Amino acid sequence: MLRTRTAALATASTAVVALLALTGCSSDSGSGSDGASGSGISGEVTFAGYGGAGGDSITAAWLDPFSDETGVDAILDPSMDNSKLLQMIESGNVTWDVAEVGLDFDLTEANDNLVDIDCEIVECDAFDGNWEVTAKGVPMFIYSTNVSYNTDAFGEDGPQNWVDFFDTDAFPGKRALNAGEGFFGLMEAALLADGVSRDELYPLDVDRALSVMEPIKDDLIFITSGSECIDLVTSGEATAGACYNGRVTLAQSEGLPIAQSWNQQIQSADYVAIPEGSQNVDAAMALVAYITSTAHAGDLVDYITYGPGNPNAEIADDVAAEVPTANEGTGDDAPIVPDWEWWNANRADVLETVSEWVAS
Amino acid sequence: MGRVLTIEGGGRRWWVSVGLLGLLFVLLALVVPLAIVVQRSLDAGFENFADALGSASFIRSLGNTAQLAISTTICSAVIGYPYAYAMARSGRTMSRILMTALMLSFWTSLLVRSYAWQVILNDTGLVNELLQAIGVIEEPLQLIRTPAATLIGMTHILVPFTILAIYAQLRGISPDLAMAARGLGATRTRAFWSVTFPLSMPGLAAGSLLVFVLTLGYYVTPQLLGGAGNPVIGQSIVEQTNTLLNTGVGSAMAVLLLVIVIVILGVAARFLGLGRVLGIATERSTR
Repeated sequence: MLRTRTAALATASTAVVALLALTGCSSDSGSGSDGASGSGISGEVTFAGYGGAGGDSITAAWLDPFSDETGVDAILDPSMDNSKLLQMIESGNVTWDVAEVGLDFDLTEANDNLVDIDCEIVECDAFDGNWEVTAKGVPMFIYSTNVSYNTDAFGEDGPQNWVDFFDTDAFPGKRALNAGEGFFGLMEAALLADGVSRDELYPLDVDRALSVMEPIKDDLIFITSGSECIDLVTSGEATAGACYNGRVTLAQSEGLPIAQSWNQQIQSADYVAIPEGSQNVDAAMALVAYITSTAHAGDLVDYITYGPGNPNAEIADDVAAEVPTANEGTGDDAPIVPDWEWWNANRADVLETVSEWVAS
Repeated sequence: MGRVLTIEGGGRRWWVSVGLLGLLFVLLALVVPLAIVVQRSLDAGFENFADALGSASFIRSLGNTAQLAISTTICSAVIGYPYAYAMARSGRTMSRILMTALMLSFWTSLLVRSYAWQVILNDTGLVNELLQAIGVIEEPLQLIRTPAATLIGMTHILVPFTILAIYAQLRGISPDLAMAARGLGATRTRAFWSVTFPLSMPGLAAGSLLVFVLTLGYYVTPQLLGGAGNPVIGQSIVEQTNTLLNTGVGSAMAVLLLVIVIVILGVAARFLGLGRVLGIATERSTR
């Protein structure tokens, strides 16, 4: 009897300890493969990217064909996130071989966490446009964040630029936008809407940008993923959103009530980089070269309309008109290209200010 | 006699090995990661803790979390007690129906339940569409992304813990006691409040403690229903580690949360008796 009770108590304390664990931060589940060792290119490479339409498209356009061509298994792990990548590299237990990163990950020579890009293998010379190869990263695709709106609410005459976007009197309804990146790009959009001229944007006046959003704060829905933007706008929960161009085009092709304006598109690029400690650097470099090659960089557009980072890549005719670089306005409607250097120098402060503003 | 002893001896060894396996699991899956978190939180001396406590948004999230935990506990008790009482005292069929309904809800993923509340509370959700259709309101009410939405979702998700704890306690109280009170002239109400309710207090206390402590660590439901405007501690920790890449400060916040939980459990153990709380938790988990 006593023993039963002791055992029961032990079970109970285990349960309580487990509960305590629940109340702490839960650890993410481990990911992907162990990678393969060996020289040459063989084994497998894990591509750390994001889920949803973007990840599916990358798999179909690049990873599967690369596997077929080289015999190296290229696998998508959709759980990419900067902090996870950093922790992996710091702990020396790296299970990702190629990662989808932005310039915010610091792709310069100074970043010891990434492997140098080998221009013997990657076509570095082909990148003669706005988005350059850096010491540690190669532009993979160019995307834009556009003023997008619900066509049931506004027909084809929805908000056409950021002035309209922030004007909830002229265009009633809620707005879906991402605050998790410190309003990256949206700060610039708000300041332009408030009459700041383009050559005086930087250093960004963060307080002024927030004061533009303050009056409509109750109408802002803060999203954390690209698919959320589409869900909110197409359901009418929000009438407008700052959504990724590729996802809007996909949603349109599915017949959902959404449209986007290309005016003042916020243009940015995602890069591919190789984490230091990758178990299969040779195959990883080969995959980076494949994805960014003049022959294949444009293949992604067949699946989602993000333009190739390689400016010389060919794009299929039927989708060529859908990528951000084919839709650049001029004058006031010209693209907003956030200044990465300013952002990298000030990101921590801006994030702190924005999260404080969002939560107050 | 000897035979019985042999079985008992074998049983003991069996229990010991099972216990050791459990211990090993707890060590690997809990103690080691927790030690890493504690070590990270101290990687800059106590500076991470100073940063955490100096962050206005963290302090606000502490306040939001405390408010949420208290209100969820109260709502769970108020809703859970009558349910548990009905389950313990009604006939076999009714009791089974109530238990089945409870378990169906309990076993449904909390993610599913949180999204379900989104569907109900959205501007274009069930409630608003209905009220607009019958002409009660013109513009949708702001239901989603409010503290109230989080409270509704959290109560729905955690109330089974209160119900099961109270139910277990009530099942152990003989209905004869209330009958005796009535036989001595007490009204039904008086018999409940003077006899049954005081005897059921340990169950209510245990269930409430469980709900309170569990609420402190919830992240997904507040994120989905309360939005970014009313962050709880979990959201602050995620922001530090995932967005600001400050694992040190994030770990410090997690350690602070852990300390808060330990203090609450310690105080509860002092006044309620931890064994009693655990005993009831066991009954719940083996049921």
